[in-house]
Amino acid sequence: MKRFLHNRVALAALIIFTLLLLSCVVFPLLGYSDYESLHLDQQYAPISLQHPFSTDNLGRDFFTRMMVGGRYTLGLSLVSTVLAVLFGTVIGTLSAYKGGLLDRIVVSLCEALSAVPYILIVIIIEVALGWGKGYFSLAIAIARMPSVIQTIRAAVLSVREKEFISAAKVLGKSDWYIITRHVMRNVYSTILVQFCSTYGASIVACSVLGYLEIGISSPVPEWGRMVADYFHLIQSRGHLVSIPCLFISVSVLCITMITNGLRDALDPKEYQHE
Amino acid sequence: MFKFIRNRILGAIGVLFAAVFAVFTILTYLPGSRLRYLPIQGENDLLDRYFALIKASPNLLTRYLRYMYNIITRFHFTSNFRHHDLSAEILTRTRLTLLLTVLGFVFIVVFGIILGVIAAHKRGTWIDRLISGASMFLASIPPFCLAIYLALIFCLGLKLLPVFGYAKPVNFILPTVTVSAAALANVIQICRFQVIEELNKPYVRNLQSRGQRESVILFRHALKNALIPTVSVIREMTATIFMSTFIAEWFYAIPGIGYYMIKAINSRDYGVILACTVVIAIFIIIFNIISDVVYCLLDPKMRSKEMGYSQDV
Repeated sequence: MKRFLHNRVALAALIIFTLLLLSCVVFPLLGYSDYESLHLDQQYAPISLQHPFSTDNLGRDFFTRMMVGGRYTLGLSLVSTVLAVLFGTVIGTLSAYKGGLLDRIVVSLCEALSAVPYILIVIIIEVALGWGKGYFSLAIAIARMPSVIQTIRAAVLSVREKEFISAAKVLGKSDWYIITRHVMRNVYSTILVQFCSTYGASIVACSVLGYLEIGISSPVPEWGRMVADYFHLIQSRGHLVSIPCLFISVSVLCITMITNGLRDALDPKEYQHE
Repeated sequence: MFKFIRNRILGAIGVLFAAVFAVFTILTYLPGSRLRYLPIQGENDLLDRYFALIKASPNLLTRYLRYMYNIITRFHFTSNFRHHDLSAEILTRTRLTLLLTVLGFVFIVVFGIILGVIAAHKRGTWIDRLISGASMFLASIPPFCLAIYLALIFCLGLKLLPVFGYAKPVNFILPTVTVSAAALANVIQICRFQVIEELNKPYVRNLQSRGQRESVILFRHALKNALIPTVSVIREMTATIFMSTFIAEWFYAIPGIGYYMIKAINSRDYGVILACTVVIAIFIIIFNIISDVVYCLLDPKMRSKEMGYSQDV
Protein backbone atom coordinates (compact mmCIF):
# COMPACT_ATOMS: atom_id res chain seq x y z
CA MET A 1 0.00 0.00 0.00
CA LYS A 2 2.82 2.34 0.91
CA ARG A 3 4.46 1.70 -2.42
CA PHE A 4 1.22 2.55 -4.19
CA LEU A 5 0.93 5.85 -2.33
CA HIS A 6 4.47 6.78 -3.36
CA ASN A 7 3.49 6.44 -7.03
CA ARG A 8 2.41 10.00 -7.74
CA VAL A 9 0.65 9.33 -11.05
CA ALA A 10 -1.41 6.50 -9.63
CA LEU A 11 -2.26 8.50 -6.54
CA ALA A 12 -3.44 11.45 -8.63
CA ALA A 13 -5.52 9.12 -10.78
CA LEU A 14 -7.06 7.58 -7.67
CA ILE A 15 -7.96 11.02 -6.29
CA ILE A 16 -9.48 12.20 -9.58
CA PHE A 17 -11.49 9.04 -9.99
CA THR A 18 -12.72 9.15 -6.40
CA LEU A 19 -13.83 12.76 -6.89
CA LEU A 20 -15.65 11.80 -10.08
CA LEU A 21 -17.37 8.88 -8.41
CA LEU A 22 -18.27 10.93 -5.33
CA SER A 23 -19.70 13.75 -7.41
CA CYS A 24 -21.86 11.28 -9.30
CA VAL A 25 -23.14 10.00 -5.96
CA VAL A 26 -23.46 13.33 -4.15
CA PHE A 27 -24.76 15.85 -6.70
CA PRO A 28 -28.00 14.00 -7.50
CA LEU A 29 -28.67 14.03 -3.73
CA LEU A 30 -28.11 17.81 -3.59
CA GLY A 31 -30.97 18.59 -5.93
CA TYR A 32 -29.41 17.87 -9.28
CA SER A 33 -31.61 14.86 -9.81
CA ASP A 34 -34.27 15.90 -12.33
CA TYR A 35 -32.76 14.59 -15.53
CA GLU A 36 -35.83 14.09 -17.67
CA SER A 37 -38.27 17.00 -17.32
CA LEU A 38 -38.31 19.12 -20.46
CA HIS A 39 -38.11 22.91 -20.55
CA LEU A 40 -38.41 23.78 -24.19
CA ASP A 41 -38.22 27.49 -23.36
CA GLN A 42 -34.75 27.03 -21.85
CA GLN A 43 -32.82 25.48 -24.75
CA TYR A 44 -29.08 25.99 -24.42
CA ALA A 45 -29.45 28.17 -21.33
CA PRO A 46 -26.41 30.24 -20.36
CA ILE A 47 -24.08 28.73 -17.80
CA SER A 48 -25.26 29.44 -14.27
CA LEU A 49 -25.31 27.81 -10.86
CA GLN A 50 -28.58 26.14 -11.78
CA HIS A 51 -27.16 24.89 -15.08
CA PRO A 52 -23.38 24.55 -14.64
CA PHE A 53 -22.96 22.81 -18.03
CA SER A 54 -25.81 24.68 -19.76
CA THR A 55 -28.85 22.75 -21.03
CA ASP A 56 -29.40 20.44 -23.99
CA ASN A 57 -31.61 20.71 -27.05
CA LEU A 58 -34.71 19.84 -25.02
CA GLY A 59 -33.91 22.19 -22.16
CA ARG A 60 -32.82 19.43 -19.80
CA ASP A 61 -30.04 20.36 -17.40
CA PHE A 62 -26.88 18.87 -18.84
CA PHE A 63 -24.94 18.76 -15.58
CA THR A 64 -27.68 16.71 -13.94
CA ARG A 65 -27.74 14.37 -16.90
CA MET A 66 -23.98 13.91 -16.65
CA MET A 67 -24.09 13.17 -12.94
CA VAL A 68 -27.03 10.77 -13.11
CA GLY A 69 -25.47 9.23 -16.22
CA GLY A 70 -22.30 8.64 -14.24
CA ARG A 71 -24.33 6.66 -11.76
CA TYR A 72 -25.46 4.39 -14.55
CA THR A 73 -22.17 4.08 -16.42
CA LEU A 74 -19.90 3.72 -13.41
CA GLY A 75 -22.46 1.90 -11.25
CA LEU A 76 -23.56 -0.72 -13.76
CA SER A 77 -19.95 -1.35 -14.73
CA LEU A 78 -19.11 -1.79 -11.06
CA VAL A 79 -21.92 -4.33 -10.64
CA SER A 80 -20.79 -6.29 -13.68
CA THR A 81 -17.16 -6.11 -12.54
CA VAL A 82 -18.05 -7.50 -9.12
CA LEU A 83 -20.02 -10.30 -10.77
CA ALA A 84 -17.27 -11.08 -13.27
CA VAL A 85 -14.47 -11.09 -10.70
CA LEU A 86 -16.48 -13.07 -8.15
CA PHE A 87 -17.54 -15.84 -10.52
CA GLY A 88 -14.29 -15.64 -12.46
CA THR A 89 -12.27 -16.18 -9.31
CA VAL A 90 -14.39 -19.10 -8.15
CA ILE A 91 -14.34 -20.80 -11.55
CA GLY A 92 -10.69 -20.03 -12.22
CA THR A 93 -9.55 -21.27 -8.81
CA LEU A 94 -11.59 -24.45 -8.96
CA SER A 95 -10.51 -25.17 -12.50
CA ALA A 96 -6.83 -24.70 -11.74
CA TYR A 97 -6.95 -26.48 -8.39
CA LYS A 98 -8.99 -29.47 -9.46
CA GLY A 99 -7.62 -29.84 -12.98
CA GLY A 100 -8.75 -32.72 -15.14
CA LEU A 101 -11.86 -32.60 -17.29
CA LEU A 102 -13.32 -29.50 -15.61
CA ASP A 103 -10.13 -27.61 -16.30
CA ARG A 104 -10.08 -28.62 -19.94
CA ILE A 105 -13.71 -27.60 -20.46
CA VAL A 106 -13.20 -24.24 -18.76
CA VAL A 107 -10.05 -23.50 -20.74
CA SER A 108 -11.55 -24.30 -24.11
CA LEU A 109 -14.74 -22.37 -23.33
CA CYS A 110 -12.69 -19.35 -22.32
CA GLU A 111 -10.61 -19.55 -25.46
CA ALA A 112 -13.70 -19.73 -27.63
CA LEU A 113 -15.39 -16.84 -25.83
CA SER A 114 -12.37 -14.57 -25.87
CA ALA A 115 -12.02 -15.01 -29.64
CA VAL A 116 -15.46 -13.48 -30.20
CA PRO A 117 -15.95 -9.70 -30.06
CA TYR A 118 -17.63 -8.98 -26.73
CA ILE A 119 -20.39 -7.00 -28.38
CA LEU A 120 -21.57 -10.25 -29.97
CA ILE A 121 -21.65 -12.04 -26.63
CA VAL A 122 -23.53 -9.19 -24.96
CA ILE A 123 -26.02 -9.02 -27.79
CA ILE A 124 -26.71 -12.72 -27.78
CA ILE A 125 -27.14 -12.80 -24.01
CA GLU A 126 -29.39 -9.75 -24.09
CA VAL A 127 -31.44 -11.12 -26.96
CA ALA A 128 -31.77 -14.44 -25.19
CA LEU A 129 -32.53 -13.22 -21.67
CA GLY A 130 -34.11 -9.83 -22.08
CA TRP A 131 -33.34 -6.16 -22.26
CA GLY A 132 -32.96 -4.61 -18.85
CA LYS A 133 -30.34 -3.05 -16.60
CA GLY A 134 -29.81 -6.26 -14.64
CA TYR A 135 -29.40 -8.43 -17.70
CA PHE A 136 -27.20 -5.78 -19.26
CA SER A 137 -24.69 -5.85 -16.44
CA LEU A 138 -24.89 -9.64 -16.32
CA ALA A 139 -24.14 -9.73 -20.04
CA ILE A 140 -21.10 -7.49 -19.64
CA ALA A 141 -19.98 -9.62 -16.71
CA ILE A 142 -20.18 -12.79 -18.79
CA ALA A 143 -18.37 -11.13 -21.68
CA ARG A 144 -15.55 -10.03 -19.34
CA MET A 145 -15.31 -13.30 -17.45
CA PRO A 146 -12.99 -15.31 -19.76
CA SER A 147 -10.04 -12.99 -19.27
CA VAL A 148 -10.58 -12.97 -15.49
CA ILE A 149 -10.78 -16.76 -15.40
CA GLN A 150 -7.63 -17.14 -17.50
CA THR A 151 -5.60 -14.77 -15.32
CA ILE A 152 -6.76 -16.23 -12.01
CA ARG A 153 -6.27 -19.75 -13.31
CA ALA A 154 -2.68 -19.00 -14.31
CA ALA A 155 -1.99 -17.43 -10.91
CA VAL A 156 -3.47 -20.37 -9.00
CA LEU A 157 -1.59 -22.86 -11.17
CA SER A 158 1.71 -21.20 -10.28
CA VAL A 159 0.86 -21.34 -6.58
CA ARG A 160 -0.48 -24.89 -6.62
CA GLU A 161 2.87 -26.49 -7.26
CA LYS A 162 4.60 -24.74 -4.32
CA GLU A 163 5.90 -26.79 -1.42
CA PHE A 164 3.67 -25.32 1.25
CA ILE A 165 0.59 -26.56 -0.59
CA SER A 166 1.95 -30.10 -0.65
CA ALA A 167 2.88 -29.69 3.00
CA ALA A 168 -0.67 -28.64 3.84
CA LYS A 169 -1.98 -31.62 1.91
CA VAL A 170 0.35 -33.96 3.80
CA LEU A 171 -0.92 -32.46 7.04
CA GLY A 172 -4.37 -33.61 5.95
CA LYS A 173 -5.94 -30.20 5.53
CA SER A 174 -9.13 -30.06 3.49
CA ASP A 175 -9.23 -28.54 0.01
CA TRP A 176 -11.43 -25.72 1.28
CA TYR A 177 -8.89 -24.88 3.98
CA ILE A 178 -6.00 -24.92 1.53
CA ILE A 179 -7.81 -22.76 -0.99
CA THR A 180 -8.99 -20.16 1.48
CA ARG A 181 -5.91 -20.07 3.70
CA HIS A 182 -3.03 -20.65 1.31
CA VAL A 183 -4.04 -20.18 -2.30
CA MET A 184 -6.12 -17.04 -1.82
CA ARG A 185 -3.46 -15.34 0.29
CA ASN A 186 -1.07 -15.69 -2.62
CA VAL A 187 -3.32 -14.66 -5.47
CA TYR A 188 -5.18 -11.80 -3.82
CA SER A 189 -2.93 -9.21 -5.47
CA THR A 190 -3.70 -10.71 -8.88
CA ILE A 191 -7.40 -10.54 -8.07
CA LEU A 192 -7.13 -6.89 -7.03
CA VAL A 193 -5.27 -5.90 -10.20
CA GLN A 194 -7.71 -7.94 -12.24
CA PHE A 195 -10.61 -6.19 -10.55
CA CYS A 196 -9.28 -2.78 -11.55
CA SER A 197 -8.54 -3.69 -15.14
CA THR A 198 -11.91 -5.41 -15.49
CA TYR A 199 -13.60 -2.30 -14.15
CA GLY A 200 -11.93 -0.19 -16.83
CA ALA A 201 -12.89 -2.66 -19.53
CA SER A 202 -16.47 -2.79 -18.23
CA ILE A 203 -16.81 0.99 -18.40
CA VAL A 204 -15.57 0.87 -21.98
CA ALA A 205 -17.99 -1.94 -22.81
CA CYS A 206 -20.91 -0.19 -21.13
CA SER A 207 -20.33 3.11 -22.91
CA VAL A 208 -19.62 1.47 -26.26
CA LEU A 209 -22.87 -0.48 -26.10
CA GLY A 210 -24.67 2.67 -25.04
CA TYR A 211 -23.14 4.49 -27.96
CA LEU A 212 -24.27 1.78 -30.37
CA GLU A 213 -27.78 2.12 -28.92
CA ILE A 214 -27.74 -1.51 -27.85
CA GLY A 215 -27.33 -0.98 -24.14
CA ILE A 216 -29.49 1.13 -21.91
CA SER A 217 -32.39 2.82 -23.67
CA SER A 218 -32.73 6.49 -24.32
CA PRO A 219 -34.30 8.62 -21.57
CA VAL A 220 -31.79 7.24 -19.10
CA PRO A 221 -28.65 9.35 -19.41
CA GLU A 222 -25.88 6.83 -19.80
CA TRP A 223 -22.65 8.53 -20.94
CA GLY A 224 -22.12 6.53 -24.10
CA ARG A 225 -25.79 6.81 -24.93
CA MET A 226 -25.61 10.59 -24.46
CA VAL A 227 -22.83 10.80 -27.03
CA ALA A 228 -25.08 9.03 -29.52
CA ASP A 229 -28.11 11.16 -28.61
CA TYR A 230 -26.36 14.49 -29.02
CA PHE A 231 -24.18 13.47 -31.92
CA HIS A 232 -26.24 15.40 -34.48
CA LEU A 233 -25.39 18.59 -32.55
CA ILE A 234 -21.62 18.10 -32.84
CA GLN A 235 -21.13 21.07 -35.16
CA SER A 236 -23.29 23.61 -33.34
CA ARG A 237 -22.99 22.46 -29.70
CA GLY A 238 -19.81 20.44 -29.60
CA HIS A 239 -19.63 20.43 -25.82
CA LEU A 240 -22.73 18.23 -25.55
CA VAL A 241 -20.76 15.48 -27.28
CA SER A 242 -17.28 16.18 -26.02
CA ILE A 243 -18.11 16.44 -22.31
CA PRO A 244 -19.49 12.88 -22.00
CA CYS A 245 -16.60 11.68 -24.14
CA LEU A 246 -14.14 13.44 -21.89
CA PHE A 247 -15.74 12.00 -18.75
CA ILE A 248 -15.56 8.46 -20.14
CA SER A 249 -11.95 8.93 -21.25
CA VAL A 250 -10.87 10.46 -17.94
CA SER A 251 -12.47 7.75 -15.83
CA VAL A 252 -11.05 4.94 -17.95
CA LEU A 253 -7.61 6.53 -18.07
CA CYS A 254 -7.64 6.99 -14.30
CA ILE A 255 -8.50 3.33 -13.82
CA THR A 256 -5.73 2.28 -16.20
CA MET A 257 -3.23 4.32 -14.19
CA ILE A 258 -4.53 2.92 -10.90
CA THR A 259 -4.22 -0.57 -12.35
CA ASN A 260 -0.64 0.05 -13.43
CA GLY A 261 0.20 1.56 -10.05
CA LEU A 262 -1.31 -1.37 -8.20
CA ARG A 263 0.51 -3.85 -10.40
CA ASP A 264 3.84 -2.16 -9.82
CA ALA A 265 3.19 -1.87 -6.08
CA LEU A 266 1.99 -5.42 -5.51
CA ASP A 267 4.29 -7.25 -7.85
CA PRO A 268 7.62 -5.45 -7.75
CA LYS A 269 9.85 -8.25 -8.92
CA GLU A 270 8.29 -8.60 -12.34
CA TYR A 271 8.45 -4.97 -13.29
CA GLN A 272 11.54 -3.67 -11.57
CA HIS A 273 13.74 -3.51 -14.66
CA GLU A 274 11.51 -0.99 -16.38
CA MET B 1 4.63 -27.05 -38.87
CA PHE B 2 2.10 -28.18 -41.45
CA LYS B 3 0.71 -30.63 -38.99
CA PHE B 4 0.31 -27.85 -36.45
CA ILE B 5 -1.40 -25.57 -38.95
CA ARG B 6 -3.65 -28.37 -40.15
CA ASN B 7 -4.71 -29.08 -36.58
CA ARG B 8 -5.38 -25.40 -35.99
CA ILE B 9 -7.53 -25.16 -39.11
CA LEU B 10 -9.53 -28.27 -38.20
CA GLY B 11 -10.02 -26.97 -34.67
CA ALA B 12 -11.08 -23.59 -35.97
CA ILE B 13 -13.66 -25.11 -38.29
CA GLY B 14 -15.01 -27.14 -35.39
CA VAL B 15 -15.30 -24.02 -33.26
CA LEU B 16 -17.01 -22.22 -36.16
CA PHE B 17 -19.66 -24.91 -36.52
CA ALA B 18 -20.26 -25.09 -32.77
CA ALA B 19 -20.53 -21.32 -32.37
CA VAL B 20 -22.90 -20.91 -35.29
CA PHE B 21 -24.99 -23.80 -34.00
CA ALA B 22 -25.29 -22.13 -30.59
CA VAL B 23 -26.38 -18.83 -32.11
CA PHE B 24 -28.72 -20.61 -34.52
CA THR B 25 -30.44 -22.45 -31.69
CA ILE B 26 -30.80 -19.38 -29.50
CA LEU B 27 -32.20 -17.27 -32.31
CA THR B 28 -34.63 -19.98 -33.40
CA TYR B 29 -36.23 -20.38 -30.00
CA LEU B 30 -36.44 -16.70 -29.20
CA PRO B 31 -39.80 -15.17 -28.65
CA GLY B 32 -40.80 -12.38 -30.98
CA SER B 33 -40.15 -11.86 -34.62
CA ARG B 34 -40.45 -9.16 -37.21
CA LEU B 35 -43.40 -10.99 -38.74
CA ARG B 36 -45.47 -10.03 -35.72
CA TYR B 37 -45.33 -6.43 -36.83
CA LEU B 38 -46.58 -7.10 -40.33
CA PRO B 39 -49.96 -5.54 -41.04
CA ILE B 40 -51.78 -8.87 -41.18
CA GLN B 41 -55.06 -8.30 -39.42
CA GLY B 42 -56.83 -11.11 -37.67
CA GLU B 43 -54.51 -13.75 -38.99
CA ASN B 44 -52.45 -14.38 -35.90
CA ASP B 45 -53.53 -17.97 -36.19
CA LEU B 46 -51.73 -18.18 -39.52
CA LEU B 47 -48.58 -16.69 -38.07
CA ASP B 48 -48.72 -19.07 -35.15
CA ARG B 49 -48.98 -21.98 -37.51
CA TYR B 50 -46.06 -20.61 -39.52
CA PHE B 51 -43.93 -20.30 -36.40
CA ALA B 52 -44.89 -23.77 -35.32
CA LEU B 53 -43.85 -24.97 -38.76
CA ILE B 54 -40.42 -23.36 -38.81
CA LYS B 55 -39.74 -24.39 -35.24
CA ALA B 56 -40.85 -27.98 -35.51
CA SER B 57 -40.12 -29.27 -38.94
CA PRO B 58 -37.76 -30.35 -40.14
CA ASN B 59 -35.86 -30.66 -36.91
CA LEU B 60 -33.32 -28.14 -35.72
CA LEU B 61 -30.21 -30.06 -36.66
CA THR B 62 -31.38 -30.67 -40.21
CA ARG B 63 -32.21 -27.03 -40.72
CA TYR B 64 -28.90 -26.00 -39.24
CA LEU B 65 -26.98 -28.34 -41.51
CA ARG B 66 -28.96 -27.14 -44.52
CA TYR B 67 -28.19 -23.55 -43.57
CA MET B 68 -24.48 -24.22 -43.30
CA TYR B 69 -24.52 -26.28 -46.51
CA ASN B 70 -26.02 -23.36 -48.42
CA ILE B 71 -23.39 -21.01 -47.07
CA ILE B 72 -20.45 -23.26 -47.74
CA THR B 73 -21.37 -24.42 -51.20
CA ARG B 74 -22.92 -21.29 -52.68
CA PHE B 75 -22.26 -18.49 -50.18
CA HIS B 76 -26.01 -18.32 -50.03
CA PHE B 77 -27.45 -16.89 -46.82
CA THR B 78 -30.98 -18.08 -46.37
CA SER B 79 -33.12 -16.65 -43.66
CA ASN B 80 -35.91 -18.40 -41.86
CA PHE B 81 -37.09 -15.12 -40.54
CA ARG B 82 -37.20 -12.97 -43.62
CA HIS B 83 -37.82 -14.73 -46.85
CA HIS B 84 -35.45 -13.06 -49.14
CA ASP B 85 -31.92 -13.74 -50.14
CA LEU B 86 -29.30 -11.93 -48.11
CA SER B 87 -26.29 -13.09 -50.14
CA ALA B 88 -25.84 -10.07 -52.39
CA GLU B 89 -26.12 -7.62 -49.53
CA ILE B 90 -23.79 -9.63 -47.32
CA LEU B 91 -21.24 -9.88 -50.09
CA THR B 92 -21.04 -6.15 -50.86
CA ARG B 93 -20.87 -5.33 -47.18
CA THR B 94 -18.25 -7.98 -46.53
CA ARG B 95 -15.95 -6.33 -49.05
CA LEU B 96 -16.02 -3.02 -47.19
CA THR B 97 -15.49 -4.62 -43.79
CA LEU B 98 -12.67 -6.74 -45.13
CA LEU B 99 -11.00 -3.70 -46.67
CA LEU B 100 -11.26 -1.77 -43.43
CA THR B 101 -9.98 -4.64 -41.32
CA VAL B 102 -7.05 -5.41 -43.59
CA LEU B 103 -6.10 -1.72 -43.64
CA GLY B 104 -6.29 -1.76 -39.85
CA PHE B 105 -4.07 -4.82 -39.59
CA VAL B 106 -1.47 -3.36 -41.95
CA PHE B 107 -1.50 -0.11 -40.00
CA ILE B 108 -1.08 -1.98 -36.72
CA VAL B 109 1.78 -4.15 -37.93
CA VAL B 110 3.70 -1.34 -39.64
CA PHE B 111 3.25 1.47 -37.14
CA GLY B 112 3.13 -0.72 -34.06
CA ILE B 113 6.49 -2.27 -34.78
CA ILE B 114 8.17 0.92 -36.02
CA LEU B 115 6.98 3.03 -33.08
CA GLY B 116 7.77 0.25 -30.63
CA VAL B 117 11.33 -0.04 -31.91
CA ILE B 118 11.79 3.74 -31.87
CA ALA B 119 10.53 3.94 -28.30
CA ALA B 120 12.84 1.14 -27.25
CA HIS B 121 15.81 2.66 -29.04
CA LYS B 122 15.25 6.08 -27.44
CA ARG B 123 14.23 4.66 -24.08
CA GLY B 124 14.17 7.15 -21.23
CA THR B 125 14.00 10.19 -23.51
CA TRP B 126 11.00 12.38 -24.19
CA ILE B 127 10.29 10.50 -27.44
CA ASP B 128 9.88 7.26 -25.51
CA ARG B 129 7.72 8.98 -22.90
CA LEU B 130 5.57 10.55 -25.62
CA ILE B 131 5.04 7.26 -27.45
CA SER B 132 4.40 5.30 -24.25
CA GLY B 133 2.00 7.92 -22.90
CA ALA B 134 0.10 8.15 -26.16
CA SER B 135 -0.16 4.38 -26.41
CA MET B 136 -1.48 4.15 -22.86
CA PHE B 137 -4.08 6.79 -23.72
CA LEU B 138 -5.09 4.99 -26.90
CA ALA B 139 -5.21 1.62 -25.22
CA SER B 140 -7.65 2.71 -22.56
CA ILE B 141 -10.20 5.05 -24.17
CA PRO B 142 -13.14 3.51 -26.01
CA PRO B 143 -12.86 3.66 -29.83
CA PHE B 144 -15.86 5.91 -30.31
CA CYS B 145 -14.35 8.58 -28.04
CA LEU B 146 -11.22 8.49 -30.17
CA ALA B 147 -13.37 8.76 -33.30
CA ILE B 148 -15.09 11.83 -31.89
CA TYR B 149 -11.82 13.48 -30.91
CA LEU B 150 -10.44 12.78 -34.38
CA ALA B 151 -13.57 14.18 -36.01
CA LEU B 152 -13.45 17.27 -33.82
CA ILE B 153 -9.77 17.91 -34.55
CA PHE B 154 -9.31 16.90 -38.18
CA CYS B 155 -12.76 17.46 -39.63
CA LEU B 156 -14.34 20.31 -37.71
CA GLY B 157 -11.22 22.05 -36.39
CA LEU B 158 -8.60 21.77 -39.13
CA LYS B 159 -11.03 20.87 -41.94
CA LEU B 160 -8.47 18.49 -43.41
CA LEU B 161 -10.37 15.25 -43.83
CA PRO B 162 -13.96 14.32 -44.61
CA VAL B 163 -16.02 12.73 -41.82
CA PHE B 164 -18.34 10.51 -43.79
CA GLY B 165 -18.33 8.62 -47.05
CA TYR B 166 -16.45 5.61 -48.37
CA ALA B 167 -15.79 6.34 -52.03
CA LYS B 168 -12.30 7.88 -51.99
CA PRO B 169 -9.15 6.61 -50.30
CA VAL B 170 -9.08 9.78 -48.17
CA ASN B 171 -12.23 8.63 -46.46
CA PHE B 172 -10.48 5.60 -45.05
CA ILE B 173 -7.78 7.42 -43.10
CA LEU B 174 -9.78 8.18 -39.97
CA PRO B 175 -11.65 4.84 -39.91
CA THR B 176 -8.33 2.98 -40.19
CA VAL B 177 -6.91 4.91 -37.27
CA THR B 178 -10.05 4.25 -35.24
CA VAL B 179 -10.03 0.54 -36.05
CA SER B 180 -6.40 0.06 -35.15
CA ALA B 181 -5.91 2.42 -32.19
CA ALA B 182 -6.48 0.06 -29.27
CA ALA B 183 -4.58 -2.85 -30.76
CA LEU B 184 -1.84 -0.56 -32.06
CA ALA B 185 -1.25 0.78 -28.58
CA ASN B 186 -0.91 -2.73 -27.17
CA VAL B 187 1.45 -3.76 -29.94
CA ILE B 188 3.62 -0.70 -29.33
CA GLN B 189 3.83 -1.45 -25.62
CA ILE B 190 4.70 -5.12 -26.10
CA CYS B 191 7.15 -4.43 -28.92
CA ARG B 192 8.93 -1.76 -26.89
CA PHE B 193 9.11 -4.02 -23.84
CA GLN B 194 10.44 -6.98 -25.80
CA VAL B 195 13.01 -4.99 -27.75
CA ILE B 196 14.31 -3.48 -24.50
CA GLU B 197 14.56 -6.99 -23.07
CA GLU B 198 16.56 -8.08 -26.09
CA LEU B 199 18.84 -5.04 -25.99
CA ASN B 200 19.76 -5.87 -22.39
CA LYS B 201 21.03 -9.31 -23.37
CA PRO B 202 24.76 -10.01 -23.64
CA TYR B 203 24.81 -10.78 -27.35
CA VAL B 204 23.86 -7.18 -28.11
CA ARG B 205 26.85 -5.92 -26.17
CA ASN B 206 29.01 -8.31 -28.13
CA LEU B 207 27.64 -6.94 -31.40
CA GLN B 208 28.17 -3.38 -30.22
CA SER B 209 31.75 -4.08 -29.23
CA ARG B 210 32.35 -5.53 -32.68
CA GLY B 211 31.23 -2.22 -34.09
CA GLN B 212 28.03 -3.39 -35.67
CA ARG B 213 25.75 -0.58 -36.78
CA GLU B 214 22.89 0.33 -34.42
CA SER B 215 20.22 -0.10 -37.08
CA VAL B 216 21.41 -3.61 -37.88
CA ILE B 217 21.42 -4.55 -34.20
CA LEU B 218 17.96 -3.09 -33.73
CA PHE B 219 16.21 -4.49 -36.75
CA ARG B 220 18.07 -7.62 -37.67
CA HIS B 221 18.83 -8.94 -34.22
CA ALA B 222 16.68 -7.44 -31.49
CA LEU B 223 13.48 -7.01 -33.47
CA LYS B 224 13.72 -10.47 -34.97
CA ASN B 225 13.60 -12.01 -31.51
CA ALA B 226 11.02 -9.55 -30.25
CA LEU B 227 8.62 -10.26 -33.11
CA ILE B 228 7.37 -13.59 -31.78
CA PRO B 229 5.60 -12.23 -28.67
CA THR B 230 4.44 -9.24 -30.71
CA VAL B 231 2.72 -11.46 -33.24
CA SER B 232 1.08 -13.44 -30.49
CA VAL B 233 -0.28 -10.17 -29.06
CA ILE B 234 -1.70 -9.24 -32.45
CA ARG B 235 -3.36 -12.64 -32.56
CA GLU B 236 -4.94 -12.05 -29.17
CA MET B 237 -6.19 -8.65 -30.28
CA THR B 238 -8.21 -9.97 -33.25
CA ALA B 239 -11.50 -9.76 -31.39
CA THR B 240 -10.73 -6.22 -30.25
CA ILE B 241 -9.94 -5.17 -33.80
CA PHE B 242 -13.27 -6.49 -35.03
CA MET B 243 -15.00 -4.73 -32.19
CA SER B 244 -13.37 -1.47 -33.21
CA THR B 245 -14.36 -2.16 -36.82
CA PHE B 246 -18.01 -2.29 -35.77
CA ILE B 247 -17.72 1.03 -34.01
CA ALA B 248 -15.78 2.68 -36.82
CA GLU B 249 -18.38 1.54 -39.34
CA TRP B 250 -21.17 2.83 -37.17
CA PHE B 251 -19.47 6.16 -36.54
CA TYR B 252 -18.28 6.89 -40.07
CA ALA B 253 -21.46 5.44 -41.62
CA ILE B 254 -19.60 2.84 -43.68
CA PRO B 255 -22.18 0.21 -44.68
CA GLY B 256 -20.18 -2.86 -43.74
CA ILE B 257 -21.10 -5.98 -41.80
CA GLY B 258 -20.85 -4.27 -38.43
CA TYR B 259 -23.18 -1.46 -39.44
CA TYR B 260 -25.64 -3.96 -40.88
CA MET B 261 -25.54 -6.04 -37.74
CA ILE B 262 -26.11 -3.15 -35.34
CA LYS B 263 -29.03 -2.01 -37.46
CA ALA B 264 -30.38 -5.57 -37.41
CA ILE B 265 -30.05 -5.77 -33.65
CA ASN B 266 -31.94 -2.54 -33.18
CA SER B 267 -34.76 -3.84 -35.37
CA ARG B 268 -34.62 -7.44 -34.03
CA ASP B 269 -33.90 -8.91 -37.44
CA TYR B 270 -32.61 -12.29 -36.32
CA GLY B 271 -31.86 -13.68 -39.77
CA VAL B 272 -29.46 -10.84 -40.47
CA ILE B 273 -27.88 -11.14 -37.02
CA LEU B 274 -27.20 -14.80 -37.69
CA ALA B 275 -25.75 -14.16 -41.13
CA CYS B 276 -23.48 -11.42 -39.80
CA THR B 277 -22.37 -13.65 -36.94
CA VAL B 278 -21.38 -16.34 -39.42
CA VAL B 279 -19.42 -13.88 -41.56
CA ILE B 280 -17.60 -12.39 -38.58
CA ALA B 281 -16.80 -15.83 -37.18
CA ILE B 282 -15.33 -16.82 -40.55
CA PHE B 283 -13.28 -13.61 -40.61
CA ILE B 284 -11.90 -14.17 -37.15
CA ILE B 285 -10.97 -17.73 -37.93
CA ILE B 286 -9.22 -16.78 -41.16
CA PHE B 287 -7.23 -14.06 -39.39
CA ASN B 288 -6.31 -16.46 -36.62
CA ILE B 289 -5.06 -19.03 -39.12
CA ILE B 290 -2.99 -16.39 -40.91
CA SER B 291 -1.41 -15.26 -37.66
CA ASP B 292 -0.74 -18.90 -36.74
CA VAL B 293 1.10 -19.38 -40.01
CA VAL B 294 3.13 -16.20 -39.44
CA TYR B 295 3.86 -17.37 -35.92
CA CYS B 296 5.11 -20.68 -37.22
CA LEU B 297 7.32 -19.03 -39.79
CA LEU B 298 8.86 -16.77 -37.15
CA ASP B 299 9.37 -19.24 -34.35
CA PRO B 300 12.34 -21.55 -34.91
CA LYS B 301 11.02 -24.00 -32.35
CA MET B 302 7.95 -24.58 -34.47
CA ARG B 303 10.03 -25.07 -37.59
CA SER B 304 12.31 -27.53 -35.91
CA LYS B 305 9.35 -29.58 -34.73
CA GLU B 306 8.41 -30.05 -38.35
CA MET B 307 11.96 -31.15 -39.20
CA GLY B 308 11.61 -34.00 -36.77
CA TYR B 309 13.90 -32.98 -33.95
CA SER B 310 13.28 -30.87 -30.97
CA GLN B 311 15.79 -28.83 -29.04
CA ASP B 312 14.17 -29.12 -25.67
CA VAL B 313 14.91 -32.82 -25.18
